[in-house]
Amino acid sequence: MACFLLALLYLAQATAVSAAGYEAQRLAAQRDELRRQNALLVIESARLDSPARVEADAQRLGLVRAATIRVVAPEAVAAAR
Amino acid sequence: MTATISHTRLRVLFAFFTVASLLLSARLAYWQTVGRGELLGRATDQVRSDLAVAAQRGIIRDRGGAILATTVELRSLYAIPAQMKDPQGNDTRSVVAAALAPILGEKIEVLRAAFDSGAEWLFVRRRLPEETATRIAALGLGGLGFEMEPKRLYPNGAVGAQVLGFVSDDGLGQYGVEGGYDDALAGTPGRLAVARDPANRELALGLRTAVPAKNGDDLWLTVDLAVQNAAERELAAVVEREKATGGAIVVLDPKDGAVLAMASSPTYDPARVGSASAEALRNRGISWTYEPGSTLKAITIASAIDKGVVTPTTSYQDVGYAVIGGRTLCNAQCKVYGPTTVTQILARSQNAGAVFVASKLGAADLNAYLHAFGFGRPTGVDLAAETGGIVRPLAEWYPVDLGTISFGQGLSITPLQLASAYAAIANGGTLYRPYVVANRRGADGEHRTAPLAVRRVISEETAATMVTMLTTTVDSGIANAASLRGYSVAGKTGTAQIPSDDGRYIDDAYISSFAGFVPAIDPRMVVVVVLEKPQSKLLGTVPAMNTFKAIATDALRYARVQPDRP
Repeated sequence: MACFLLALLYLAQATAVSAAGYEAQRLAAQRDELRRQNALLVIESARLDSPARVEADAQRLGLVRAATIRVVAPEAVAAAR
Repeated sequence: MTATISHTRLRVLFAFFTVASLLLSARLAYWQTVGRGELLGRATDQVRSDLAVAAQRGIIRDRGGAILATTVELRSLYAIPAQMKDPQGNDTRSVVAAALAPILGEKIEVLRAAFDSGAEWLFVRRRLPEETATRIAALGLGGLGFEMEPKRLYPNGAVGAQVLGFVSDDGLGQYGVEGGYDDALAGTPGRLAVARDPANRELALGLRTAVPAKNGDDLWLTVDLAVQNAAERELAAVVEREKATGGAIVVLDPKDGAVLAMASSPTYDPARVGSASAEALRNRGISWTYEPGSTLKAITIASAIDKGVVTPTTSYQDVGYAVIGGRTLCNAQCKVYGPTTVTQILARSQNAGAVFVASKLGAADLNAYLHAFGFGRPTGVDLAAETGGIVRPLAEWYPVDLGTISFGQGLSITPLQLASAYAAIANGGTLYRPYVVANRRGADGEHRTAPLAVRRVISEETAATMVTMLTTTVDSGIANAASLRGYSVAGKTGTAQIPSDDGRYIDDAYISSFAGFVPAIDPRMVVVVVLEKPQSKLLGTVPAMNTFKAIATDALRYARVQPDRP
């Protein structure tokens, strides 16, 4: 009887481990797919941040390059105070 | 009735079964001992899969961390034509072809022909864009499936194409950083051996041996994406405007030789590398040589000042030409300038004046200084396919060569070599080896590239003198079109003829260039612009100078460099 119960316990454990293994595989595949989707989003973000794309969009929107840029020297500001 | 069996027959039967049992036992013993390994192997093969685990190719980033190249798994569409059937068993190849055609932008007949080719399994399209793959997957068509394949992506399109290089379909890096650092980027594949069930799922209980893949290192470049973009935009614009056959731009940090940008025209899109010409693949910044023309006068004069044979105020009587080695070498349009100082020779770009300075220096010293400035051999930049240009050995110089080389004819250089030489003048006299990869990050940590000072070429005093003279050349000399509001600029123009295969110069074809640095004092960047065969002959070097200005304006604003002039 004891042997039978031991065998039953072993079978139950083996089945549980196998099922957990399948679940782990499913989760690993899900993790890999999410990582892949994340990588695609990172690439899309980089594409959207590309200076060439930003420039093209700016031109399309009618924006122009600033003719002059005013530079304020910190020494001058400090002296004015 | 009872049958009787003779003792003899019984003995024979007994002997037969005994022998048979012994043979079977022996065979069994064989398979249990000697043949055990073979049987075990066969059994294991039925459930075991042994796969190579691909290493992730490293990411390439610009100096600010922006992604320039990365690898992602994309879905490749495959077809099993025999499985293209509806629930009633009718053939659906035409339906599948008609459904796929508009999504893939392919003709129905082409897809149908592929399905009817007799192949049991075939790729319909490899490495599909994610949206396309998702649309196809949503159709739920039978006989189609997806397989993941790595794809190298360049989110900035053609920007930096020649610097980056590309990766072939079989995963090998070609050209540029991809080619030069292929070993570091590629990593090392691993192996995974596991037991699988009939549904091809890994078994948790059973064989499992794994050698993890070692992913490739990430590379951080010295290239600045914003400066690179400005360089490529301006190069493309000037090449189109001037109908030039090509061109190159190099932007260096003179303090350590870091390459901030390197643009080359014609160029290509790494996503369509199959349609790129060989000329487009070539990085003209390092793989193309040309006669520098007058940009080399700065090198000649720097050498002579450093040697102590002339000073900025040394003067001579310019008669419009110089005679050397029995040949007469003229100024542009043979213009006569009269009394001229060395500063004016540079500011006016006088050929006869350069010959005067070179004659004071002598061929041996000019040759030695040219080599010291890095001409005649590759700079050693960490990119594939660099060429060294040609500075002929002194023994092969004719007397006239001292004159022609003094103003940049009779030798060939790369744009990067010229940028390095001007960087040496800009930084106080030290020649640095240019470099593109700033650091490499992998599992074993971070490896930074230490800037390499190759040698001191000229003294600090000479360099400072040259900065003043080159600034004069821009402020009030031939390179005035390169001046920038708010910033001091030092630089020199160059117009050079193009030698043909027979050694003569090609008529009506020239190379226009400008080499300069900004701000002249404490410079942040050296910019070399070279245009091949621009059509605007009357404008000479103005397009190159305008291109320099546009790039410098953008880069200085972007780097928030304080103006050094009112």
